[in-house]
Amino acid sequence: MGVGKPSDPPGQYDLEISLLGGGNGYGESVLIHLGDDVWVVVDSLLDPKSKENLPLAYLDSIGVDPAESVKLIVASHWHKDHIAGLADIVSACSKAEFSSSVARENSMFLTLVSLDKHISNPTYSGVREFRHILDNVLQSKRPLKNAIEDRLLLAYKRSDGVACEVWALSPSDDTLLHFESKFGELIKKASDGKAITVKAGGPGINDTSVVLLIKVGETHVLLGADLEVTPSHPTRGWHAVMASTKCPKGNEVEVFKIPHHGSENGYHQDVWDRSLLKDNPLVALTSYAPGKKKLPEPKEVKKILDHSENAFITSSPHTAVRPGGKKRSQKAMNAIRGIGLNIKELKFHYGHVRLRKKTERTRFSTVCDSIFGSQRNRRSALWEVNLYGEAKKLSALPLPGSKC
Amino acid sequence: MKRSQPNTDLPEYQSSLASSERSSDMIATLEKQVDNHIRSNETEASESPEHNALIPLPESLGTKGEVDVEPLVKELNATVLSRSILKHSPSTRFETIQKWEGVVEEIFEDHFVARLYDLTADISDTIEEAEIQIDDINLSDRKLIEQGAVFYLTLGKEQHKSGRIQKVSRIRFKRVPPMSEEEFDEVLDQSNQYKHNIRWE
Repeated sequence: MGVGKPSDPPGQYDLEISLLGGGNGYGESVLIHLGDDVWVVVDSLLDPKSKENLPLAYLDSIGVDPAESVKLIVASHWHKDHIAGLADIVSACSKAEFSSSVARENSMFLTLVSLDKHISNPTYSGVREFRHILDNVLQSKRPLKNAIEDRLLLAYKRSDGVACEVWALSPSDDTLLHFESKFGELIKKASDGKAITVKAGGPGINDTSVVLLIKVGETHVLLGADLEVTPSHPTRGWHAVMASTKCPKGNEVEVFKIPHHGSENGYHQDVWDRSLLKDNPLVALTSYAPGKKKLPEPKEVKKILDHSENAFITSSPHTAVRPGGKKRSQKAMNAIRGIGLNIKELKFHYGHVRLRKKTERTRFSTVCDSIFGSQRNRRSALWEVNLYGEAKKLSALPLPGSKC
Repeated sequence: MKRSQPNTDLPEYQSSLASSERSSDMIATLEKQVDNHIRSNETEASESPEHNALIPLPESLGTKGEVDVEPLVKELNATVLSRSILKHSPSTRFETIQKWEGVVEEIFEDHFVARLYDLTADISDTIEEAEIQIDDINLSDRKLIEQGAVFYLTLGKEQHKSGRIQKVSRIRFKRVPPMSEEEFDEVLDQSNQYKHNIRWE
């Protein structure tokens, strides 16, 4: 179990991947330090009690000025547990470019967002958050980058000469075309004078997830967002990512943010067989406990641990609920009991998995590369792992057959 | 449990209707009244979850807006949630004890799972999740049950003018009025503003 709060910033040439998670659908965010104080923020996470924006709070705690240092913000996809609070990040990171897959020029999504007052669930569907983001981008005259497969979102050369790149590997053209027709149906309904409810959790929205490939010199990191495998649509989901030109297929990815909370639908064998290091890649994920399902399920935990012992999770999904609901006044508790309401509190379990690697190019490292370069398996040992809050090793979670 | 569509034609509902045309007529009238009342307050309802107006009953169904609908409710296998709406009259006082805004997450054959956001003051803002029986939803609201739909759940006490105090719960689904042509034009204007004024790369 992790402890304390981090306060130490990364070194100038340290690559950092910080995964923050609240469990239970409160949200998740990834912060990436590429080097030379250049940061990327993916998605957002709010503390439900303090309302604190946790990615911004982390940057503040290590002395990073988001207005100066964050160069790119990515909305991985359009689910509330990924974008709640993202408008605040866009506002605070005033020099960052914003990137999203669904908000594109000529996209009907722009009309859908403009409909927010006429949608029955603008807050819970994430439509209102997106509207705030677009308003902010518009007012600040910042560019909005379309994220689509094989698209370079950020590139620069560090002061030590190391090239840094951030690539979008998804969604595919086919996915976006499919969603244009979905958005069109909703808008048609609204124009016909019918009330509309946007199904935020509706099937397929995870297909619009932006999978990111981070390249810092020879170090590769893959962030899987919530992308799932869609066997009936090989031109979408992980099949499309593996078919994309820029997807690494030479077992060179050292760090993998496991998609979709380690769900069965997010598992794609090819990623493990072809993209990730063959031996013990570093992997991290967030938990989720929607409805009756708790993610990751024990059988998926086992599957991940069969691939890597270097697996970490921001919090356990198995201690996630309080039956009977929140602690509240006796009067209210009696009223709830009186009608026999089957209610439970979804607890907020904040955890932070922080991975750092020194990526400075020196004469010594160049020599080491020439000696050990082919032995990629050793690379995961170069990463420093810190766990904060409720973050823990994935091996601490129950396996199939064990009691939760 | 098998996933199913929101179901307004439950077997017990249909059989009740068949067994008593008079009952269904009266209930239909009541539902219409409730719907009209809600529709007339739609803007307020969509903006303010505090909306808790009492629903007057048609005079034809009783004196001074009160009527004993218990037999009808029993016949329709409706629950306390429906009863609380049907039994409201201007002569009752309602004290709210607990209130949530809910969002339908998953729909099953006889119930749905919803996330509840606490609207009652001084309580931390963690989310709650509840299973709610579809039978507990007013008939006129059942057609609104769909994934993503928003509703308000209120628990409280109702004091009748006779002095009798009754614990009640209410669920009401949010309704959004349809857009006018002018409003839709405004939406398109806003959309065009994004399209033409954002620097797309």
